[in-house]
Amino acid sequence: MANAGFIDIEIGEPVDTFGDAPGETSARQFDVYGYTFSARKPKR
Amino acid sequence: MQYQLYIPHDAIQRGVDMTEAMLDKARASAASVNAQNVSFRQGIIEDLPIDDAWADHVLSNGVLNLCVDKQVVFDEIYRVLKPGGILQFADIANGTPVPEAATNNIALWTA
Repeated sequence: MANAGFIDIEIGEPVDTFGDAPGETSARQFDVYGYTFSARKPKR
Repeated sequence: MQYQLYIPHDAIQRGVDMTEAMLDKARASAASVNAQNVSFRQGIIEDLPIDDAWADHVLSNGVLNLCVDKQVVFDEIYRVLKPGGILQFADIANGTPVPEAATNNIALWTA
């Protein structure tokens, strides 16, 4: 994101999106969690 | 998060999806609530059918993790955002690098 020029990049805390889901085993194997992301394009 | 998401109910909204099936669903959903300010276009996130610096806000949910070249995607989103525009998305990410053998094992990626 920074390479594209975005600033004020924020990443939220990990969320266990695969808990009790069919893909949970695979998700745990690769440490997969859900995140929220935000960033801003500079004004100029 | 730093940004509070607020999009006025009458803001012009444009949805993009790569399949006609999903576009049909989106159009039907918009019609079911008589949404007059939303339109949909077919396209891919790597080459958005959106003019340069058109969007105040780009939202995405669960798409970027499916894209092979994340840099191309972020460059494209950057292009369509106005100066000062905001990108917000939710997605999954892996904390452990995936070995190539696992990448090629479809059973690990499907339920």
